[in-house]
Amino acid sequence: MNGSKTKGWATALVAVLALGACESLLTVQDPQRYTADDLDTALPAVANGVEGAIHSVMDGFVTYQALLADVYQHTGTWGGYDEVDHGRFQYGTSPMDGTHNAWLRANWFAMDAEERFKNVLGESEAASSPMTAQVRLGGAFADLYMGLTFCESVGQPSGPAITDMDALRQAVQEFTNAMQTAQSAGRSDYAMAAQAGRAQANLLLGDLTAAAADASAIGDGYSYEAVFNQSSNNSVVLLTTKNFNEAAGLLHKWWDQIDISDDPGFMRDPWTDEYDMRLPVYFDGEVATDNETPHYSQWKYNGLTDNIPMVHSDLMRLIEAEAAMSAGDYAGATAILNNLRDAVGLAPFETPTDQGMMMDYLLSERFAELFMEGQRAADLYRFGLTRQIFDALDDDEREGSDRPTKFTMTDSEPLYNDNIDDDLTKRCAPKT
Amino acid sequence: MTQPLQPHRGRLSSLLAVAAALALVLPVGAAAQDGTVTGSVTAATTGEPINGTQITIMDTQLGGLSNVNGRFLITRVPPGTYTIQAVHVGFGTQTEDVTVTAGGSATVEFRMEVSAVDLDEIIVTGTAGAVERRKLGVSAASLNVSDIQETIPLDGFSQALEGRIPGVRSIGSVGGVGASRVLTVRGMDSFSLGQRPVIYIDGIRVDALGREWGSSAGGQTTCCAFSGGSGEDRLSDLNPDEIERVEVLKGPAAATLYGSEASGGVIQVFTKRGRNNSPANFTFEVGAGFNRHRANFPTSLRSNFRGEDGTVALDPNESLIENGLINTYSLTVDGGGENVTYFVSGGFSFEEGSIKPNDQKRANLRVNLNWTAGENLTVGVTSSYVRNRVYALQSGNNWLGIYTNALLTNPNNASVDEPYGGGLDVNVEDAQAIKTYSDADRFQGSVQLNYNPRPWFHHRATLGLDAVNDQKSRNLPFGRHYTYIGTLGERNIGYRNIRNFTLDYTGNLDYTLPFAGNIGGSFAFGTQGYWEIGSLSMATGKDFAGEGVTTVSGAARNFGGESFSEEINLGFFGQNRFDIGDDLFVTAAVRVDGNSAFGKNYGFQVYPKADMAYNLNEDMLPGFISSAKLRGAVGMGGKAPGAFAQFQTYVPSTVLEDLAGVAPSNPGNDLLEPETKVEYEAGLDLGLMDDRIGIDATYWHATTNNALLGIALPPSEGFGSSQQRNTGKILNRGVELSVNSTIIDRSDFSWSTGINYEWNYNEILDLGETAVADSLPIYQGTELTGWTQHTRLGGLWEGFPIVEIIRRGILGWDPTKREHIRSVYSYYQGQAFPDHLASLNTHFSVGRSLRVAVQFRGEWGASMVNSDRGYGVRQLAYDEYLMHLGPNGERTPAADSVLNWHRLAYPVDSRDNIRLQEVSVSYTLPESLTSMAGLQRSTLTLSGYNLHWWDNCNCPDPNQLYQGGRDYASSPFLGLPQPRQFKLTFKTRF
Repeated sequence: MNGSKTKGWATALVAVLALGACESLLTVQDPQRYTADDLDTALPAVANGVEGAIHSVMDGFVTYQALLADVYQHTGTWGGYDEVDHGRFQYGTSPMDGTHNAWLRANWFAMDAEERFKNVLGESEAASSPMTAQVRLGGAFADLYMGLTFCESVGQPSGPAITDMDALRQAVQEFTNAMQTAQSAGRSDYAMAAQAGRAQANLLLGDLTAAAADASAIGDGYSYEAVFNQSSNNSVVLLTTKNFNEAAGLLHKWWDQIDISDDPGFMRDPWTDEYDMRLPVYFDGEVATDNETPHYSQWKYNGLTDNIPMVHSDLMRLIEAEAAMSAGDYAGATAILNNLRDAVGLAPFETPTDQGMMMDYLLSERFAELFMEGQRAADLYRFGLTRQIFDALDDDEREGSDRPTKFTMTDSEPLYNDNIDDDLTKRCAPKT
Repeated sequence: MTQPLQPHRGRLSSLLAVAAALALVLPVGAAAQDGTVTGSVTAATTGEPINGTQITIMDTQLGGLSNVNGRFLITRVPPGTYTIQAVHVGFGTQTEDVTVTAGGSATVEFRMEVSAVDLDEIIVTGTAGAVERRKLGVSAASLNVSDIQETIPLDGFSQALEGRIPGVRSIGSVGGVGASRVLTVRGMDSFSLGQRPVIYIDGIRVDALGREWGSSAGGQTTCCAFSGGSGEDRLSDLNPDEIERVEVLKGPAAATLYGSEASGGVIQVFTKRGRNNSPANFTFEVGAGFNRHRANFPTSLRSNFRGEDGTVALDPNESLIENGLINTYSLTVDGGGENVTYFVSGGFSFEEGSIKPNDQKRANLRVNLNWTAGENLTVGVTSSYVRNRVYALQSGNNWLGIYTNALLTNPNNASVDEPYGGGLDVNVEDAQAIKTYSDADRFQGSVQLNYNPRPWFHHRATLGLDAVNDQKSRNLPFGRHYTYIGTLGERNIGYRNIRNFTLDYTGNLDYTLPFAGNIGGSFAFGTQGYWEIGSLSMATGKDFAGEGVTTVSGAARNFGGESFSEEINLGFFGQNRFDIGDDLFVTAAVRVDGNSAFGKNYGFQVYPKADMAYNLNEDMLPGFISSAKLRGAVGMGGKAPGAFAQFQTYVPSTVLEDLAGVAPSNPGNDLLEPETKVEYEAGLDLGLMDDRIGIDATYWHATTNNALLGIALPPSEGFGSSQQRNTGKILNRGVELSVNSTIIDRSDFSWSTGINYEWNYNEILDLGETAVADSLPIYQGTELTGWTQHTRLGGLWEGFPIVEIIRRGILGWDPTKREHIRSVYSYYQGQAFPDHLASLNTHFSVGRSLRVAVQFRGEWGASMVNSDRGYGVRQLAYDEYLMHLGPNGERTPAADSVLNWHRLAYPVDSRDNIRLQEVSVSYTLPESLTSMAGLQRSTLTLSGYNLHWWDNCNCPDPNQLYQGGRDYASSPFLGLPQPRQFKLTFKTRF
């Protein structure tokens, strides 16, 4: 028995020693993710990540804005598309929540990246680093699009809700900061994108003078685009075009205006009945995914890696035209529009004599120039045209009255942010 | 009629010869003066020999199993007087005294009386040593798969568990052969971690994945799920012919010694072993049959419609459903000498699905050897190899699904090219041209040492490996049109490699307290560890130049992805059981675990347990109660967090012009703990009418504390994933009842029946500090009449089951607008999982030749969001819509009303159902016939599986889940229903 006792104690001792050694035995590493420390050695990827995060959801933004406006209709079976097309969504059920979340997260990552650059590079070097300019640009665009798309948003991590106008004002300040940093870093491309973004933000704020001033600094041919690649496809193509998932197509109001004698076809210019090369459409007579609706497919983007313009010189010209119109300079405004039309071979407008006609020209050109760029719903909102446009459809399923004009805030933020009330009745929901 | 034991006749295979040689080469010298005990085991009423009866010479370590003829032989028995015990589930334990003389042979004949009470059955899982059921304070379940196979040939391991053990839910939820199945034990005990119980085979922890893994590596750089959501079930690798029995621990009260994986229950499979002193027993089985779906797809009106070119639309009920052939072959042999026993089996099965292409080819080989290396040492070696190739069916929430594309098409658009109708843009013929394979190689091996230096001191050590290599591939051929993919074709390949190492040691010390002679017991201690490494790698090639090339590298664009996981667990335990007289048994134990998934600042987890069993003396019982055991147990078990959930991480991504980017991903948590579940249970095992009726009733109550919740951070805080925190609390409680009885037991006719019932209540008790107050509306008709207050976190609501259905619904009809009225707010419409389950298993025997077995199974209380129905109507495809169209397919107000309903909301339908699950008729061929061919007991069995069900679900099958066995899957979304199966099997022995 003594021997057994000895063995027993020895076993117990081994067990205790084994327990002591467990800590190192039980250590594992995740080789497929970066840690926060790893990122200090990957600063360019951090900067690219911020900018890329803004770009990667521009496709969803474009599709849902088209459904909210009079551009697209739902032609598939997805509830989210259906709800937006028919204006039925509300706070808590908006399919745009994911896009809002993405922009909010990108904003945080931009701030976090700036701090990281300061810590790793030092304040002075970070202040003139192109990477700082890049992430500031990303953060500014996030605020611009949140102000454009949602009736309210969040300006700071876990901060209170701010109005769309506040988000746009914040965007203006951030674009200014990004411009300054980009100029210090010698990155004119970032500086120009920031200035074009600021023009767009000021336009939405109603400060047409400031908007036009920035717009005039952007020369013709400039374009800053959301870039898609093989890993991050353009879902406008993937989900709504011919040969892919045809879950949305052009709204029936445009069908009569579409000439399909060519492949692809084009919408006709409503003023001259000419082909408008800015509005390519594909239609082969077949119905869409819902087994019922003829699928008129936008064809501006038809490759999975096609980029989506965010700000560009034609948008700047339209801002200038709008500023001129607002100042009563219809001739100046018309001249700018005619330059745009001339570039695609369309006959010029005659200078209108009344504001209504001028507005029609402007809206028509904005529709064509900014086709499938997510701007139409914002135009209807800021000019107060949503009800009028939808009533004119004479479509029981898309009535103008009570139709949402902007998207509601993501419910993920109020749900987990103590500074915002998660109550349907407390959250904005602008309707006609 | 019994047969004398025959000496080795030299007809063994070469493998057997090796085993036999081992028996000769590695003998343990028998003392010349030892004797033998031999005899037979038969059923008292029928005289049928009983195979697999455990024969034990009491107070020694000697024993053996009866063979197929009921015979047994135990050698090297020292002279003396012994009590011989015979134990077999389903029969009452018997003992006989014999005297063995030097060099002599004592004979004992056991005539076993049927019994519905199995208190002498030995349980080894979670008990730290082999223990008779009478000493257990928990409701461990045991299933003799070998016996079940005698009545109904099982299609797979999971079928054995179906409807046979209360508390275990094993159902087929997808139709493709080899596809994953639901397997859960005692409800839902976690918000996010796996619900499938841990599976051990012969002491080795094995991979039991029951879901698709295709999308979990590589993200969008590779492809979607290979087969549409269900994936294959690694439990389908098991050949049921290799399985002797299964033990099930239903929760931490019983499974505490499994520590951080005990929470969801433990299932241990024991494969067959050879018998000492037995000649080679060959068993050959061949089966043939077919799978065929019920023709109840909601498309029977299709053929009333035609497209513009005059093509009459096809009805999938008539054109898609085919007979899927089944062929199975199995050969096993077992036997042994004095020191070495062997069990060798080989099997091959080929099974086609009812919707094609879909088939499974599986080949199994197993060799189990046991070597008595000395008087105190035995060595067991198990090894198995499986090749399991599934030609998977494209189904489920999947644009490439065959069933999907056949059902969701508008018959009014039918054409010669698209005879089912147009719509989803993938022609059924093109979907059927996709080749999707899962090709798994699997090796399991273990070495088990049993060393008993003293009669009262036992050691058992097990070391084993389960290695799975699963290669998946999918080929979308060039020249056909596949929605997102276009016409240039695509190739996806993936490799999943899993290595599971298990190390287990248990020491067991039996004792009698010196100061109290009637108090003895057993003290056990040990350690158990596992190391699981998993790696996935996937690649996709897009766009081929033409036909002929189908490799990823042959495509114009290539993408790759890789993922990795690693988990290490190490635990130590100590357990003591007091045996107080022969009636009262009290056990207490503790296990301490460390796990690599615990937060680095957490440390070790302690899991205690205690249980008690009290067997009432016959004197205390009224006459009609023949035996009674009261039991109670309390124990804690755990569930480890995800392998890398503790780390704060950033995910790499490709952004802009193919540049490297990163994005915040997991916020991490240094303090992650295991989920801990405290379970107590109390039960009663009763034997009535001389144990002809057995009742097993258990009430159990389990609370999961520290349940991991994904605490979403505000999006403005950056991280995309939720932070895992141990803040939730979940209640599960229930009642399990089994009643087994032998109603008639005569030599010419017997009838036995078993009824299982379980009730399971699931409730979220606490969602932690970050949960918020919210309310749910009360609607009466179309009126909102009030609100009920609740607390919720994301889609989880305190006071409700884990997976509940809270969504907007249709309240009524607005005649003015001529549209349905949808609720403004979401409201509670049901729960996703059933709370009442019952089954009836009944067996008849007529004479010694004919046996009939029937199983009915039912589930109640679950609902589903019937997305199939909604989509079918929205796609103008289902009978529910078509029936309202005019004679030429024109729309009518009634049709528009149905369409409007389904465009506004998805219907919620009941999953309640009663199912005729199994029917088998077995006929044992006359010996006069079989002996002419040199065969022994031979049976012919006609069986049917999943034959019919009665429901009100407005769907083909209320069990449908498009993600098959995935733990939280609740949507039927075009998951193909399970087919009916018919099979004829011939089994013989020689």
